[in-house]
Amino acid sequence: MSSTHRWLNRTLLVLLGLVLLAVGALTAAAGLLPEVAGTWTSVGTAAVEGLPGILAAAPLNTETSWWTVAALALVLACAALLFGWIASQGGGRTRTLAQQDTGAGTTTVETSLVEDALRSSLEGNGQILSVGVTSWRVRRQTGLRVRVQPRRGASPAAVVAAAEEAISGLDTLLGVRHPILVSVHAGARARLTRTRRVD
Amino acid sequence: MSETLHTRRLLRRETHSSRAVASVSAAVVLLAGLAWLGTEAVLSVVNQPPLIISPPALLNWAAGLPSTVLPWGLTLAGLGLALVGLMFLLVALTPGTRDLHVVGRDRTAVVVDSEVIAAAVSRRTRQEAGLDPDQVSTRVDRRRITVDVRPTSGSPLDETLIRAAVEDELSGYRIRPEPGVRINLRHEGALGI
Repeated sequence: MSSTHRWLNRTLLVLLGLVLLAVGALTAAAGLLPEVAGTWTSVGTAAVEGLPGILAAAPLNTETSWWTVAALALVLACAALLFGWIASQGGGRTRTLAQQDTGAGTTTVETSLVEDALRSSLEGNGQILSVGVTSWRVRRQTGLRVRVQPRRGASPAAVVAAAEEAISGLDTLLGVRHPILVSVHAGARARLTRTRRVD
Repeated sequence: MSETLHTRRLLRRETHSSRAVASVSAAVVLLAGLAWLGTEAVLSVVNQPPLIISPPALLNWAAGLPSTVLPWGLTLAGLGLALVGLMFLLVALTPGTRDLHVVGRDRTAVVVDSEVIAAAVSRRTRQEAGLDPDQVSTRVDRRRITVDVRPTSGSPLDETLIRAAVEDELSGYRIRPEPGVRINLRHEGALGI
């Protein structure tokens, strides 16, 4: 539910894949076809021999060129963009479910309130081992993600029905309906607890 | 209604991978490469010995690669690079569906782990046929649920009865799209249960 830019991830991964594929294909071709290898060597040597002239055309001082500085700047810019890409993963999680400002002051509803409310209404249910709630910003609304871990072998229908009943109680309590995702999952704890032979 | 729209968005985000792991690993590898290149460039500017190879020497090496490396080595390296590229393309273009099933509900978006469904179906089958936990196992795929039953030796089981029980159990779940059911009754029975 995090606000990771998924299209960005996939686009950049496609670009990276295409570049690697092209470089790999060229390298393999150079190994297989003598003409490609010859072109590679001649073009590469010409470029390397032309380089001192280009560097000398824009001198910064006697030893370094502006082109070297530009190359360094390019490396730094790419590194900054890559850091940005890493930083864009995840995010959007919030601890505040709702906030209301009135003349008398500000009222905030924290996610932990919802968690406590759902836990207390589901704790009597023998089929449910644990309940966890997180809240996330979803398109200018706050969405809730309720993770329910049932006892091993419990019917998902019963578990989901119980969760929905608790959530309708939550709607009444809050007075506002939030987008909610219920995730029924088997945790490590459900895998370890043995099924009761008589049930 | 805006609320249903957002619920659908929640479901899509929950059931599909964000490709964050692949993205972060790719970015980290690229960053390491860039950091090395930047360091070599700075070292070369201030006339210090390079860490591995100085930028001009690196360019020379790249230009002369086909004449210094054996052709088959070049081919192998190229194939390796292309393979890694293909892997990235696959990661980027496949849907990356998680092992979750969407349950049809009005108020909330609901997903259920395959393992939860498998455990519930196994439990129901066991109850219906009076079997031990070891005798029933269930596998839940995206479109099909396979129940594997090993009857107790000497007391044969009715497949239609088990199928009816499993289908009855599943009908309450409202999984979308509805998976097919396959009952796999083993011929050899279990002894000493």
